[in-house]
Amino acid sequence: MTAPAPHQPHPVTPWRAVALVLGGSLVLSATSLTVVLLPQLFGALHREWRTYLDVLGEANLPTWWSSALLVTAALAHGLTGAAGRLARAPGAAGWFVSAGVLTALSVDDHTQLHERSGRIGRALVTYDSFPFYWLLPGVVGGLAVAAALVLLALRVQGATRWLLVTGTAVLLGCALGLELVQGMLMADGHEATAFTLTYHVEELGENIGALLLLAAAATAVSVTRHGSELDVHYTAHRSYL
Amino acid sequence: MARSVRSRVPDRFGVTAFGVTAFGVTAFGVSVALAAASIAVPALIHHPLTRGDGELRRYLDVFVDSNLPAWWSTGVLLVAALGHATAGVASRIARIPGAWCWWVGAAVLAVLSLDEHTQLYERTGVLGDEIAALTGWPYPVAVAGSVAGLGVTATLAVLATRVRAATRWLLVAGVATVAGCAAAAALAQDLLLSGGVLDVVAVLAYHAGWLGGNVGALLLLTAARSAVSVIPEGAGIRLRYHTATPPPAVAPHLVGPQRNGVPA
Repeated sequence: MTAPAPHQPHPVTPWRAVALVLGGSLVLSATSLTVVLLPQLFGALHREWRTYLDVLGEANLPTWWSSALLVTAALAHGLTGAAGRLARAPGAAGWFVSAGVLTALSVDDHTQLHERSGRIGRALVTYDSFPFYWLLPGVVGGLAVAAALVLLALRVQGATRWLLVTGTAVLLGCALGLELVQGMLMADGHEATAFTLTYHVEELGENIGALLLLAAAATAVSVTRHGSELDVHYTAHRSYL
Repeated sequence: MARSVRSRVPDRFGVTAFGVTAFGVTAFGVSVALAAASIAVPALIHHPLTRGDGELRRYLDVFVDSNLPAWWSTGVLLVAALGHATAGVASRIARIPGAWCWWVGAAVLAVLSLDEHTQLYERTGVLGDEIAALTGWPYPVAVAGSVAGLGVTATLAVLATRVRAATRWLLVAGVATVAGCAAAAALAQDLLLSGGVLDVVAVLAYHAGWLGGNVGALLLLTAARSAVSVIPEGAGIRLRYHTATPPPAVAPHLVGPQRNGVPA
């Protein structure tokens, strides 16, 4: 394929960057699975490597990656909202709401907010012995997230809409559904390979969900190269005509 | 293609369009609020949750990992890294030599963000001890870190020569602030842990170091932003990369009389 002439408009697509981020998520999951299931490969420093690479750990490389992915998606939604507002597209404010939701998810991912809130709640009120008490506020929060993103999806069209719907379903399905499966496996004492595989699928699914939401924001704008400059236009507005 | 008059006007410090000044000021305000909350909540609110190992104190203390201030400083560094990567893309599209310098800046900021989240520096100490025991070569991490630091400094020096003055000074100020505050925070942390100074002094110094690190990251983000003009054009936005030497302006008296943009 010949290169475009310097001053011919040339569309810039996000798919190479999306593939790169997907590759990063897959590599991190595979590395974590290896360090958990094949510890002998890592020698005397296995414990240190596992602390740093296991997706179940805290304050390590996979948690930084997933939190960073959510922050990047939040930033992309905020910028898309700004582009939509500039184009006077109805409903562009929905992107700011979804940016806020993704930011909250990132805070939760980084700081284990839902687990901490359980400890804070226990210090303020009395619970019974129900072990999954956090699931109730978690489900309420999940419904709020889903509502915000689905309302946004109703305002946009094409690939953006389907990426929003799929990303929300994958993110919440993995975060809530697979965590419940893990709880059941733990309750049954199955904490070996099945548990390991489940939490890896959960973390990878959450990353893919966040990536789909990031891609949704990327497809909501058209980026065109004009010589040495880039033009960005909001294109996801749904026409009811 | 015809361009609007507005698109011909370069923005000063890259802040005329899109409320980026408001973003920077808001981000600085959040950093100040978080540092203040870290000090004020345990000092002013007397409750088991806000004292000692209380959950709220641990959630707000800038001295503790994996909490709200840690998320914020990790995020600010990450957004600065994304800003440098975007400047690199704009530079490459404009076919200006030196786009790789922005990529290096983005990578360094991403590593700093990773370090903020995972205490990478402390963890590499364990690996360094193991390498030193195996090879008999002392301080492998310090030597590798020094070499990498020199490489990064040289790269940013090259970048500073290739950007316009505003970007250059923001880069220099950002790097100096991040490096100085990281050193100050580490020193304050050591003093706090060893009990070598008054607790109040060490706590204030540590908070100032944390806040300064955020300010440095915001300066580096603003540096990347100032290298690219974001200009509203109709219903869209135009991004334009600035070089150290702006294109020569044509004086109106040299153009002569025009009619509808065409020489009469």
